[in-house]
Amino acid sequence: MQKVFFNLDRETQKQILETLIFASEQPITLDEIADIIENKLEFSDFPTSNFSIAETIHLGEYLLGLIEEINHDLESSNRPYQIINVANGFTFATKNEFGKILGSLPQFRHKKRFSKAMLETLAIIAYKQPITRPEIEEIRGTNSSDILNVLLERNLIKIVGRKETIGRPFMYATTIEFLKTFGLNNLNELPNLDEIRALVETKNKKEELTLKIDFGEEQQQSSIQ
Amino acid sequence: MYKIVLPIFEGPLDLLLYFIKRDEINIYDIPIARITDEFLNYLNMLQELDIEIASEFLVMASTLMEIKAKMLLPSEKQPEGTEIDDPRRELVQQLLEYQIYKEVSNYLEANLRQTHNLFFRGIYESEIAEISSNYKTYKPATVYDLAKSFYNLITKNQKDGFHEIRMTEYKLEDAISNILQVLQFERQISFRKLCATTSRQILVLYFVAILELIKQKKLYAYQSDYEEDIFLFLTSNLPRN
Repeated sequence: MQKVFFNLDRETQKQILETLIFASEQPITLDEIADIIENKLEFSDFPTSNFSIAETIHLGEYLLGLIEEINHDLESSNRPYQIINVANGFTFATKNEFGKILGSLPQFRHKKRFSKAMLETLAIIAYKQPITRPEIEEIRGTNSSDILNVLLERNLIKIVGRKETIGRPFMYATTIEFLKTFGLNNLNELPNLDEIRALVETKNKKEELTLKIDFGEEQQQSSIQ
Repeated sequence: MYKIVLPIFEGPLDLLLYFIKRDEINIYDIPIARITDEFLNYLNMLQELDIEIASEFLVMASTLMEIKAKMLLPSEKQPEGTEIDDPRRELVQQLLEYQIYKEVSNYLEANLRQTHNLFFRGIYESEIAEISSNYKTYKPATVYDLAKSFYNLITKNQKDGFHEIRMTEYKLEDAISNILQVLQFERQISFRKLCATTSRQILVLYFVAILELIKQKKLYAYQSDYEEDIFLFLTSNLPRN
């Protein structure tokens, strides 16, 4: 089947690709696209081109090239949206200046609003998932049930099961919506925890250092006096 | 006129970190007596302002005092070469761990600034918005919400007069298939509409039918707000994720 897709003329290939991305509710991955065009589609209705592509070409790379071209077409016809790569897949998203318009509408503004507590809780879940509420509260040192409800309601986290400990608490994990909201492809794009730990330690040490310097100056002053 | 500005703390750990930063305290060597005083002063201030203090602050206050007491006690003789266990160790570990996730949340916040004007093509939200007409958000309705709604209906439909018991031909299976049939054509059913015109007996049947369908995971019940109408969706019609 793949050959058949390759035999279509390039404009048709782009249209098919755009259709798949357009119709997908969540960002569609290259693997999903490849599976559909290789195994699930009939192309007999479409005109084929005589131009044949070398069979050795890598399908994923080829699709990426097509997506790039679609974006170029959108750009040159002044469309206010682009295909972007997020949550490991491809989806349509507004361009900056037009997204601003939506951002001023109350229902969207609400979606973009995050409290400190929400971000903290999301950060913990992102690294420690699947994680239970008591485990989150141990790190934050404070009750987190309301925050978890808000995050669930906003579809940023989901319940992925129960932990087989006392009380069988729910376990939470982040969602595709989380990746989309923070512009991530996958969780590996989050900063490395060891690096963050090192950064925090340097910051702490620096404060310690300034403390010692202050102390040193005081000593000097007193010795001058 | 007084204007009191209180910084918002996400919990006792956040408050401790605030003191540590403000007073340039070395986190690895916290002067426990001083920070305990600071902490208790803050709680006293809250009390004077008549602000309810969350229990975790009180737990932290007692932890701090426990550490303070331990540090005043002469430590037991340790065998040569082993380090003396610092009573502050656990607290410091907790603070460091918390600092790490605060740092990550800064990173997430920076990402949000990047994606601030990014909006995705979406089906789900616009459809929900259609039902709610204005900017309500829906949350899963519990059995208690359903029961309350049912109670309101049943008390509303009450009529005075003689009580008469009649056999109905209508069975639970009929109610179930009726609901499922309607949902073939409609995306959702309003609970109130469903039960608006029927007799009390049929009302009960519908209610049991809904509970049964929810139990079988064929239906979902959503409600925009407490005491609002409840909408029923087919499970298969709900978006994944």
